[in-house]
Amino acid sequence: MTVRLLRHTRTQNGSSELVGQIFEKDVVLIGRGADCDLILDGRDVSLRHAQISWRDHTFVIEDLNSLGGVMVDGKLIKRHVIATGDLLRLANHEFTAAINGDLLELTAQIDETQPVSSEERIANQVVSLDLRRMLPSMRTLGWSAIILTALAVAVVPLLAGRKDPWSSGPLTSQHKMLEKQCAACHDGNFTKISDSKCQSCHELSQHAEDFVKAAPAHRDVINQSCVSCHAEHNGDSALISRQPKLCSTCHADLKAVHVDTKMQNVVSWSQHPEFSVSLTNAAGETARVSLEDKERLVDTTPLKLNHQIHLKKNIRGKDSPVTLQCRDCHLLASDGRTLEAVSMVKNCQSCHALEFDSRLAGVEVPHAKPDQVYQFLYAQYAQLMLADGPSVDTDGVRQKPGSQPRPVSDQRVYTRAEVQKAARSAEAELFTRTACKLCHEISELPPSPDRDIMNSSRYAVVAPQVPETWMPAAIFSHGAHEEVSCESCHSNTRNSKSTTDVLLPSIKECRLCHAEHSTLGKVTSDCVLCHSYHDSRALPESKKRTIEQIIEGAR
Amino acid sequence: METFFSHRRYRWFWINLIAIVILTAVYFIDQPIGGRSGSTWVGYIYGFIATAAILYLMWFGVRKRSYTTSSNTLKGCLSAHVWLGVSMAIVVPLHAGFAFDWNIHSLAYLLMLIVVISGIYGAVNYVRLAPLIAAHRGGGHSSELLDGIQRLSRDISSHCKGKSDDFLKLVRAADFEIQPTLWTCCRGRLVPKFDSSSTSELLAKLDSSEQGDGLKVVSLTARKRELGLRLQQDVRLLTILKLWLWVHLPFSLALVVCVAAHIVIVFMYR
Repeated sequence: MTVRLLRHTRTQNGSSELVGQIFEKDVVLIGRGADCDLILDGRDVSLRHAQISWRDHTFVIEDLNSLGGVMVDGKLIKRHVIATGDLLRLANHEFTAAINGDLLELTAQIDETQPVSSEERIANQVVSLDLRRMLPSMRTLGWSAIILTALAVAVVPLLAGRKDPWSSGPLTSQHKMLEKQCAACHDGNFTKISDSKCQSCHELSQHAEDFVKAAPAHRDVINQSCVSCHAEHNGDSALISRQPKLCSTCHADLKAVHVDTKMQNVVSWSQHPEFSVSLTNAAGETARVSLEDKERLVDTTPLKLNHQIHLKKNIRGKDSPVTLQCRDCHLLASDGRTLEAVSMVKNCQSCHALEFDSRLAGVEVPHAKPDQVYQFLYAQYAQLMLADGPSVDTDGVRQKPGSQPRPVSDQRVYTRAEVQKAARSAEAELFTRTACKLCHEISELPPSPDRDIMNSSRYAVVAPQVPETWMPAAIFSHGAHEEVSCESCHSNTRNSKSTTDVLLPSIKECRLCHAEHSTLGKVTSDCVLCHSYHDSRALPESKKRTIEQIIEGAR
Repeated sequence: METFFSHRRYRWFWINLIAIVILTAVYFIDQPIGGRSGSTWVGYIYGFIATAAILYLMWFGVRKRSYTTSSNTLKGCLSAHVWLGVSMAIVVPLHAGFAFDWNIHSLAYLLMLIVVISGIYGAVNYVRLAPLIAAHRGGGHSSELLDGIQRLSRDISSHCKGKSDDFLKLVRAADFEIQPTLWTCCRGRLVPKFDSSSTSELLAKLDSSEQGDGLKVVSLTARKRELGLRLQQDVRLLTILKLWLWVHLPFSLALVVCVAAHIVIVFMYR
């Protein structure tokens, strides 16, 4: 057999050397020892490391219990039949095998540019201990950081069409469905959001506009865009600003911006003037009167109600004595805020029955216009008298044909005049003594010849016009105060004998619980708790969109 | 000893502290409509301050490389750099009205925190370790230690020539090669653990003719190990001292890109 060893050496000066050695023996001994055929260097090479022998027309390599071992294609072996292409590794020496008949060619690639010996490696470590050798260079890292960041924050969102990572914060819950539709509000051209974007969904209301008309000089102050007050991407609490200064900017010195105003200045809740109520006088003029102004604070509603009597214990009820509670007459309306208007039919009539004749027990006149009341009475008496006897005509006795006329003295004859008389008498009783007069202001109309012909009433009732809202510019929720007993705020009610008393609570009562800042033990109360800057108005049908259109952000 | 933290009796610390106190006070006094955020006037001003500060802090990286600056002003600059950087971790939340979310704007702050924290880590390490390193070297610089190790290795190798396999086994057990990876450098584990019992066993097994050389090699490896242990302490400190910069610098560049994107986007979508 022949073993040919070729050493390809790449020298440090860049040239390439090829050195060959030929062994023509049956056993080629490899090792560090001087007696070896192929002498290898290195601390892991044994004196006699391995041998290659020719057996049965094959080359066999055997490990001679060496220090560094023999590996073929990365596997440690004791004995191995060499094939073409095998990578033999003896300690730190590598050879590629190629067989041609009885010729084994071992090729070693020696790279002198790489350190081989331990000393050489250590020499290199002087440099490699430097971090700059272990880590990517600063230049590479820096550029990578720049490019990766640019990709992540700008390029990828742009290409993917997903700009939500650019959003500066979550939208308020009211606008959540627009979160993926930046263009629903933003033009993205470095301009502020225009009011028209807001107004595509929201109808602008009046306060600001009125103000501008009243004080054109301050147009700049008030003529701000929607977004200058209504901040988005800033949490739910930011959308509607609750800062008192938003109002006090003008209201602290309202005359300065609104010369003709009759409103008092308001700096803050703690300096809020006493409440004023809107009172309408007999002439129909409405005036705001402060609750402090006791002289003018007179409810002129032409209706008589004595709260004192109604709130006494065991007053006369329909069948048995009753004790009334506030809620028996004043019910919370379906809006959860206001109280239902007190109505005669629902709240009073169960006790204050509008009966008019003992013969007609249980029959009550309707709580309606005087004419309707009279017409009802007339109809009732006409019916009653018909049941009592034959109907008569004012002209004379009606007689069945062919029958003997009954003597006049036997007959119970009712004339129209008699029915009218009975009805008029009941009318007078109701209007002037028992029923209507109790609450209403009644006036008797001058005599009129047409009255009986027209079946109209002799009396007139002054329309009561009970105010629906005492403080129309304020929002108060009775529903939110349900735990509080009514008289705790409406404290004078039990002593009130007259309708002229205004029984509204003063600001002092409110201040027991409400304070302007986060005061310990008080409800934080800003202006918009009771007042609104602009009321929301319903969007016209033409501007309304489907759910899909809103989600898509489509116009 | 005056460090760059305490440079000129903490001058930069006090300047920054006063600035932060003022900015915080203004932040709380201002009650903008719609709540405190980056899009109020205070927000804009604080954003401008932070941007200017970031650019100044980046400029330090450029300045530090120039050799024309005297060491004294460099120390002052470094002191300003450190304290201004720390202040930014507070100014930026004030700018944003403490609003953070999963978006690129908060990412910018996150990157800034990484830069600031890595910077603090680097600065504290420097102050803490620099005297240790000076003490540690004891006249032996890393490269000198390595030279020594190299010389000893060569001696050991020269003793191996023509020796038996048992002798090489002894050398392999007693000798070592330093293993310089990032991990071993950080942990100070350049020199592998040494098993002295197996060495003495192998020494006893040696042929009497090789005993003398065996003893010599073992003593050479012991000397080499001693140098190795000194080297690994040195390398550990030096590595820790420098490693933070591999975080600080790339992240500061990422921060600048992110801040630029942040500024463009917030004004694009006002």
